[in-house]
Amino acid sequence: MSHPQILLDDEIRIGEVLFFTVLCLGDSEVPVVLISLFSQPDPTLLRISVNTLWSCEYQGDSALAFIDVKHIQAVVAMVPHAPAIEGQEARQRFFLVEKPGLDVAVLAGAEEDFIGGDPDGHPEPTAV
Amino acid sequence: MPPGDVEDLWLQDTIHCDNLRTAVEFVKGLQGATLDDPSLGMSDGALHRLQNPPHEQSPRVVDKVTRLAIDLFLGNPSEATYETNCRAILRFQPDLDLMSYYKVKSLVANLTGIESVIHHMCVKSCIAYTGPFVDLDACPLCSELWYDQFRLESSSGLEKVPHQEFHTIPIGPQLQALYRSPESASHAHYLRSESHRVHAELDHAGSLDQYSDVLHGTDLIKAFEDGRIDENDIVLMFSINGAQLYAKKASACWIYIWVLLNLSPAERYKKKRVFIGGFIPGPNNPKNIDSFLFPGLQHLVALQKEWLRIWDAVLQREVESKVFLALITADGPSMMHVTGMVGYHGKHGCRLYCGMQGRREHHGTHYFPALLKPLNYNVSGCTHGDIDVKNLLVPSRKRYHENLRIVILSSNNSQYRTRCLETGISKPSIFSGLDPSSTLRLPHSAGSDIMHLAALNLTDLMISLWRGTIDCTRPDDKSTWDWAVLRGDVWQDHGRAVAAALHYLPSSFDRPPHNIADKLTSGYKAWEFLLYLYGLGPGLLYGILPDRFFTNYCKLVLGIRLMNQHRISEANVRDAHRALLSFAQEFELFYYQRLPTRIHFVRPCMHLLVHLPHEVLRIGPPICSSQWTLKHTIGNLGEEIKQHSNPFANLSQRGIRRTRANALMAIIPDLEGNGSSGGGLPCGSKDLQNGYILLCARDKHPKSLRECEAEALRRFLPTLPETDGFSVRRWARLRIPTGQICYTTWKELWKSLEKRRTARMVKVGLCLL
Repeated sequence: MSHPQILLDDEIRIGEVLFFTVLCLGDSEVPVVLISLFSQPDPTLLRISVNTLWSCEYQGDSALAFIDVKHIQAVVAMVPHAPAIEGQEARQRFFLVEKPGLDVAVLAGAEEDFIGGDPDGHPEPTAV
Repeated sequence: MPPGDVEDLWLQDTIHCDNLRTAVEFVKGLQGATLDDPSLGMSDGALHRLQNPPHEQSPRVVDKVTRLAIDLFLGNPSEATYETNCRAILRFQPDLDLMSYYKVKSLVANLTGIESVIHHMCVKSCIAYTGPFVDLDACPLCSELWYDQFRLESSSGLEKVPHQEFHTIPIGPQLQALYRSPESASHAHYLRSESHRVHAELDHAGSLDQYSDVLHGTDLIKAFEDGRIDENDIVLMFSINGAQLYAKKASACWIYIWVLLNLSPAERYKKKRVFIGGFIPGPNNPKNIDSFLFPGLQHLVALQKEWLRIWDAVLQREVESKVFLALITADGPSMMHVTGMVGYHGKHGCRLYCGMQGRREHHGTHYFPALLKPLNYNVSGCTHGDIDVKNLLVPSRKRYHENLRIVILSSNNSQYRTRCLETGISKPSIFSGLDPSSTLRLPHSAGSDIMHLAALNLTDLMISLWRGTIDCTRPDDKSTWDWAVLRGDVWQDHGRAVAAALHYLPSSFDRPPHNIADKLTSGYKAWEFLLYLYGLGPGLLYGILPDRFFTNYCKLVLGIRLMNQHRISEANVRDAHRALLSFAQEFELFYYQRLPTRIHFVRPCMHLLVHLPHEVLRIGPPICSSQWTLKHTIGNLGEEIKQHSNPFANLSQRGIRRTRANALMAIIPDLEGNGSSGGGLPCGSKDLQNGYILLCARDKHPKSLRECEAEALRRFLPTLPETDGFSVRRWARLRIPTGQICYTTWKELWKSLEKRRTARMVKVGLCLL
């Protein structure tokens, strides 16, 4: 069983939120979140993906931790996959997808098709 | 004439090519612009108001009945629904003196001072009758008359009814409206405070530690330093794009907008803060865009020369502002029209005008920005040696102007064509007519447009390589393409895997990618491509792409992820630079392999990509000057017009109405609450400050913790007394500073996976946002 550690300074971790609550400690209120931490990302996948494939194992109740809610930086997606890493047997893992930093792009919902490309029908749909 | 100086070129009578002469006429026309020029078409009232902005505080209190009429007008898109609602209200209270639709429309026009100016245009959309075309009776390109000949004859020569008109909404009155209430004016004071902050940080630290706005780039910092921009000035970005209003029928339309950089990035891209400049109706594409942009730019240049007088409700005084145009952005095909460059297939096709020379295939006419010289290759003009991607030239105004001069002075058509090829310039941009001290000037004012680059061009390139659908030029042979693995069942399975990710993507990620194998060619949206290639891709393509192609692709992902951020640190720029350079170099070695038949793999997007990190230093995060804003303006205007007998006329009317509504809400901010629930916190929530808000549901009674949970609590609070059990009242949701709402297993697992978009996974870290 892995024991969750208190977060290190520069460490980024992914967790599943069980619930939020506000602890009353003496006179002060401390809002906290109970999360189940995913494992550290697989180092092999990180290396060959130039740090873009952050793939973790789900640890459920064996890796619970309370932390300050203000340590939550973003809501992310953990998408299931089962990679066979360097010939090992494939098993269920989850990879991280973050929302592209595009608040500009999501200010409104509808999208329209753009007129693209040139009259010659060159394969590039819209030019650079 | 000193080399590099083009200003007095416009006076030359030595221009021999017709299209150049026309372009120069437009530039000269702009240079002579004045606000009271009758050809601009502003009414006397509008002009008077523009030059003498009302000083009184906005009419905050209008009487209750007028307010009711305005509310009804803003809330109802059409005259018919306005009248229906009025009738219902009058049945309830017959003595109410409600204004007619026409009257309230005029009232809103009056309160805001916003009107459109109307010009004739060719019925086939070739040109607009402006500038040098203003006195013509027929289109110089297609010879169609601008007026209805039968009407003219049947009215015995009295009635000249135009076939087609287009609307321009001058920017000046829109800007004046924004400053008339303290609320919206204070938003527009961002530029003042941010430029002070930036300069203080530079004085203190020598450099910025992160870039989160156009204002953070060196080009604008320099413009502030040398006094081209003053804290009282207006700074704008121009953006134009073509759009198809309806997916299934010819309905091209071009729209341009102004984005106000005086507003903060959080504010300026909102629908209510984007200023519509004008519409170019289709269904054909315009052949001379300059003529359509002319009225809007004429107005801009006049403001640059005569300055814009603004009553600033925060400062409580009139301010004289110069209107500075920082950036011009557009998708590729529009870009070459507005900048006058040859376009992305040219030998010097870089839209930022770095001047890098392209190469073409033996029988091809298009040039491609391949760095490496092909083997066994002797196409004339393209035999230069390998280009070191680390040493690309930066865009240079001097080189641009020298070359423009050479092109303009061509003595005949064949010389002109040769010079276009060798310089990458086809004509002077209409933007050359702007006051030179009130713009970054070309080529520096050209933006890079990360939206089309990342979401459409690069995705199309990579997917067509991996699917093996990109053109194969003999004697090249697809069977040697060891990267083309997304075929047959692999491609179908991959498509299903993409679709299956849906329920794991929070709804805050917006539109999730559909099954790409099914929908690739039928309306896959820019946003879907973006989430697919840079979000899901590394996870779903691992084990499918051969290793070296996978790692190469991941470098692209890393670079684009960094470049797509709103805040980009100095270290991010360096990392992205390294990753993208490496991606581009390997791309040529792995895919193109110096084969003359594969030059077309190295599409223009591969080149522009390499410029991105440097562009951050120059004009801030690419996202701040991307086409996303315009795309959404087009999107939501398009939504509004729906089916209509004359969509183009209706689109213009919608645009003017939108502009007036936005101006009115800036003038009278409390109108804004209309129709929405207001900005307050939701019922039963608890504000934790700094953008964190706990939201319902909440336990009515404390619930005892499971043993593993109690253990976690003891680890969190080691001083906790030993007791038998702990209980807490749980909250179900938390809003975080990104605007996302975080859910919990407690509430989320009630729904089956098929019915939810999982939003309970979080990234945690000690460093605060």
